[in-house]
Amino acid sequence: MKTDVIIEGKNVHKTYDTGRIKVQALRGVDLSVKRGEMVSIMGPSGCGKTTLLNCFSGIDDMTEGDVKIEGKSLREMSDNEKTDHRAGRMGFIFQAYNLLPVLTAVENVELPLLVSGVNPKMAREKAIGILEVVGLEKRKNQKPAELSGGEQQRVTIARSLVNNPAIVWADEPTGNLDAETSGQIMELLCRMNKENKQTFVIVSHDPAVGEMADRVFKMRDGVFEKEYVPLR
Amino acid sequence: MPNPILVSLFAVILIVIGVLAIRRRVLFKMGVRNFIRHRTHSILVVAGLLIGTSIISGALVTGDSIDHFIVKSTYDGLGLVDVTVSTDRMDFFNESFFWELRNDTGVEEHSDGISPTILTVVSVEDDDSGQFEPVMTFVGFDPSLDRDFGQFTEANGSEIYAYDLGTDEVILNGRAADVLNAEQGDMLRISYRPLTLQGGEVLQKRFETKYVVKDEGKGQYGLQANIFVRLDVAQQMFNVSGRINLIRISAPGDVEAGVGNSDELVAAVQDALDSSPDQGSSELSVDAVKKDALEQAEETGEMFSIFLMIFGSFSIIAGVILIINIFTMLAEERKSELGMARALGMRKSHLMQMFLFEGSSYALVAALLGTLAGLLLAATLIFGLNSVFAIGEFGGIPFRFEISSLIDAFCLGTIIAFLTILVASARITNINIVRAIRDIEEPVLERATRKTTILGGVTLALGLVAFFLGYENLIIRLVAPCLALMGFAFVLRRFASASMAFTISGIAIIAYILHSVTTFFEGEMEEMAYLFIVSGVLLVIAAVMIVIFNSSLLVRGVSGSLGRIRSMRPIVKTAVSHPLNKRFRTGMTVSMFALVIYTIVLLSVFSNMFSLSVSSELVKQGGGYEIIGTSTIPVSDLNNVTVIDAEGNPVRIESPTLANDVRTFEQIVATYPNVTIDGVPLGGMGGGPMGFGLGRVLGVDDQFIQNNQYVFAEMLEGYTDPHEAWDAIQDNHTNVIVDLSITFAGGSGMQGGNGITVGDHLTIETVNGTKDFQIVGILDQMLLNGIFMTKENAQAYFSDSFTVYGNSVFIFSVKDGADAKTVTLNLERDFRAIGMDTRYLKEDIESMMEMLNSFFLIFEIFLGLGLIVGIAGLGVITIRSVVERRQEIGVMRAIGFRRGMILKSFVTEILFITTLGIIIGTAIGLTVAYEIFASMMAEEDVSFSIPWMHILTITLITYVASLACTIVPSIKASRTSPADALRYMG
Repeated sequence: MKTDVIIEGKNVHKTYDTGRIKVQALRGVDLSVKRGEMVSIMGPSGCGKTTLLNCFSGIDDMTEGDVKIEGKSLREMSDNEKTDHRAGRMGFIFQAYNLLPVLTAVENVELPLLVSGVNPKMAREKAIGILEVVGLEKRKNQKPAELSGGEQQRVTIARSLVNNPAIVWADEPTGNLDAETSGQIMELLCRMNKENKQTFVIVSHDPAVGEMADRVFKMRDGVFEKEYVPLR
Repeated sequence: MPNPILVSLFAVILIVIGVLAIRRRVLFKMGVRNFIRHRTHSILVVAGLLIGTSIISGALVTGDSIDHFIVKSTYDGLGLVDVTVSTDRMDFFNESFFWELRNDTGVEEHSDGISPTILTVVSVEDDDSGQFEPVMTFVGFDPSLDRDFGQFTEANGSEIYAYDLGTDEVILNGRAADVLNAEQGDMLRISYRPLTLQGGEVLQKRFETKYVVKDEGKGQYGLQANIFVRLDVAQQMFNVSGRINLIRISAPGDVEAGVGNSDELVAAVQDALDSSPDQGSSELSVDAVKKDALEQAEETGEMFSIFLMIFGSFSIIAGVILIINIFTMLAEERKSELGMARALGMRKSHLMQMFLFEGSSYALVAALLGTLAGLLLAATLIFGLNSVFAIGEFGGIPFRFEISSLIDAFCLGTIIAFLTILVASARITNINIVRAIRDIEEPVLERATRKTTILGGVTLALGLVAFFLGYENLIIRLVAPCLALMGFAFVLRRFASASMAFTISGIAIIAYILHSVTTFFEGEMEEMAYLFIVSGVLLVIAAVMIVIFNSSLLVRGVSGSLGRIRSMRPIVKTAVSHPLNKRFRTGMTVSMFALVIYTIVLLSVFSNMFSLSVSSELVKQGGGYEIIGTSTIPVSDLNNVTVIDAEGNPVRIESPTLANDVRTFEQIVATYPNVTIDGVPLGGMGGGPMGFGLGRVLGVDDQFIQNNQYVFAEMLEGYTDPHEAWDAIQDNHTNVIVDLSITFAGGSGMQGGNGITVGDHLTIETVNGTKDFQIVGILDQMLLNGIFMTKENAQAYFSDSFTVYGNSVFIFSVKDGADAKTVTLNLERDFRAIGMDTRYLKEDIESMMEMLNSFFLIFEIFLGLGLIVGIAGLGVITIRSVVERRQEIGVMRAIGFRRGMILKSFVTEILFITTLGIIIGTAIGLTVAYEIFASMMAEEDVSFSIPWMHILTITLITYVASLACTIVPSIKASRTSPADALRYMG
């Protein structure tokens, strides 16, 4: 039976050691996220939001503490296990979109499926299907350079959702977009959250993003300063 | 002296850079700092760039060494002799000419030594050691008159004039003593034939070895194994009292300085001979032997340098491509930076200067290191040449270089790199500011712009005009249509897709060049070499163009095949998409590999075919015989040779080998008359007993005509059977058959460079004056070389010259079961008295083939250096790619690419580029090789074969070296932490 808590991090520390100086980016963060929940991590630049996302998603190693994803401890997983877990159960949305410039929109979207070993034909069908959901089916053969910022971010969202992940990690998904496009992107994320019951962890410094989450964690100097449920 | 043009150009470049650096100090600093900033990157760039200069330097230094070797050999071999007087065939003439010259005031004024000589060859046997030498140089000299030519040096270092040399005594030089295993005091038996005797009698005379002298000074005359006797004794032996066959003269000055005075000496000697009352003086020729040999040395050295540079030019071109590639990448990397600089007010020329400063730093460092690396390369090449050609007995080619050659190489290397950088900088600084700042890729236009179309039209027209106007010039004939086709592609681009336009153009260029391959052989050697380079470059450009502009098909193909492996799908997708997205960069890198692989494959195919042709060569060259023997003393019947021994007793030569192990043998008489064609003497034909003959006439009998199995390369029109050609020389006294070597005499082309063919006429000096002879057939062999006519005709035309100046040639067929090699050695021993020199043809051909193959291998290794350029280029690309794609790597890791998958992705990409280069290079190499084979060699008994194992080895070496050079950055990429990678630029 699946536990209700999908992400559970306890006393997570992260220290960057450059040799000359040590920077404590996370100083004992505890975070629990329920399945299907949309949480937002807010805070000023340099407070440790992205580090938290990286450590909790397994992209980066934590210095101390542990994070369990769907009951599995990241500490106990090898690099390959963490990678496979990301490929199968997670999706990522980045501020700079980070699409592969040499691949077309549809090729970018189908890449996580190919990594997971899905048949190319089926991967292509699924990728086109998800591009339809984000409203980009007509732009599927364009390369990232030929798309606008909003369109690129929608391709990123499509890529993050194509393998039907349990958790979507979004790092400043609207950071490079204007207010109107930001609104559209957030609406899309909320719709996905509601329709697919997927868990969303969104890191942002934009209050408008926080307003749309189920719970908001405010960070400062590597720790949670405050947790609240936004008023709607 | 360094080449003034190169030095001036280099100086101009330095001055321009210097002035610009002073005027734009900030730009200079920026450029130089960029050079210092990325060490690994700079090392790879310099490594790639220095290859071009090292090839130039290596070629020049090898030329220097060969030049020095020949110069030294000339000085050593001739000593103080600067000018000689003799007949073309080394006939004997009156000694009175010597005295006339010696007493001539003009000659006296311009010389410091003159000596009469008899120079010929004899067979020598050491009775004490039991060793013999069938052909040894015999020098008859007068110790008193020879005084001005220096002394002999004994082994103990004492110097002697040998005035005390007795009538029964000889001097041996070091080489002669070595081959005879002789020591001072050894008794030698010299077999010789007095010139006036008719028939086969051979005399023998015993001599005591009075001195063994070092191979120094006049002791090493001609760099041969020499035996010196007193002139009067030699004249008595050969029955030529009062006659000599050579006058050696020294011009004022030492061994080297005399050369500068030889022209005056030649003129003085010629004047003296012209005013001689003796009619025979017109037969004598005066030669500035040392000066001619030195000029030849310089020419040979220079020719070798050019030859190496021509072969190395593919690597030099690959180096040029590398520079363009590197600068294109630098511009891509700094695109935003450049856009911002332009936005802030920097002009395009400022950016160009910045790149120029950076590029010049690379160019100067690379040229300096390349020049030094060239020394190493030359040393390796010389080592290789010394091993292949076994010239160790002459001391081997020494490693020598002129500082001027190094300066030339340095200047040329810098100039090539600088000019390339100039062009590359102009190209890359032509940016759209907004797109550059936002780091947006340049849009791919659907159709060509009006400007491009007009440019294409002009190029098309220019190509066509050049083709029709310059048709006679082979290079224009090759390049102009290709230029027109390129122009056509740009015009077509206005109406069709780039893929279609450049594919059509590429295919047409390849088809045209392959069709034109046969015309290459119409040209001179140097022209052919240029055609070879230009056609190679054009073929590679065309093939790469086709591949790159059809990249989508390629991606589909590769993804379709490799993508069948589930785990490889995402890897192949990213690995193949990256290089094909950067068409220019990839095209350039692929071209580097393709160019070098093309030349190596072409060379290896021909080297392989030479090896395989050994057996068919044997039949062709041997004509059904296994052994060729040449006796310096002519004999009419080998079964009946009598020698008058030193005691005056006739001794019949008994040869159990001839009786028991030889199935059949043919006896051919040979003589060396003057032969001309269209008034030009034939050079390099057979060489007489001393190698001075201009042409060798071979008189063959009916038995030879019936038995030989020689194959004809060409026969007069109408002849269908070899017997018809042989019958023709029997039926008509003015018909002759020649061997293939005659078609190479004095020419420089590949196939009968002198244009001699059947139906042509040779003019030969006979006893009855000059006569014309028609060539009715050309034999497809060169081991038994000469002009064949019947023995009766030859004797009628040349009468006693066979017995006086000629020799005998024997071809033997060995009985089944007999060991041909042993028979060869035994025949030489049995008939040593008549100076029999035997050659086992199989061994001869095999060693010739082995030598050729080793020579090819040396060149393959030399050409293979170009691969370093390609590999360095790949290394630079990989290092840049890792940096460029850092963020992408982060994303890939985030979405599920394992570390191993990132590594595999990079490795696949490297292998993909390398494979494209190898496939294109191999395909072009094999196709061109086949075209050449089909047009030149198909009719011969050589079959076209591909050395797959060899090509596979080259391929493997290329792959391993490519991976070795790129694996470190690839591993680094795979180990990048996804979080770090995402943070980069993020």
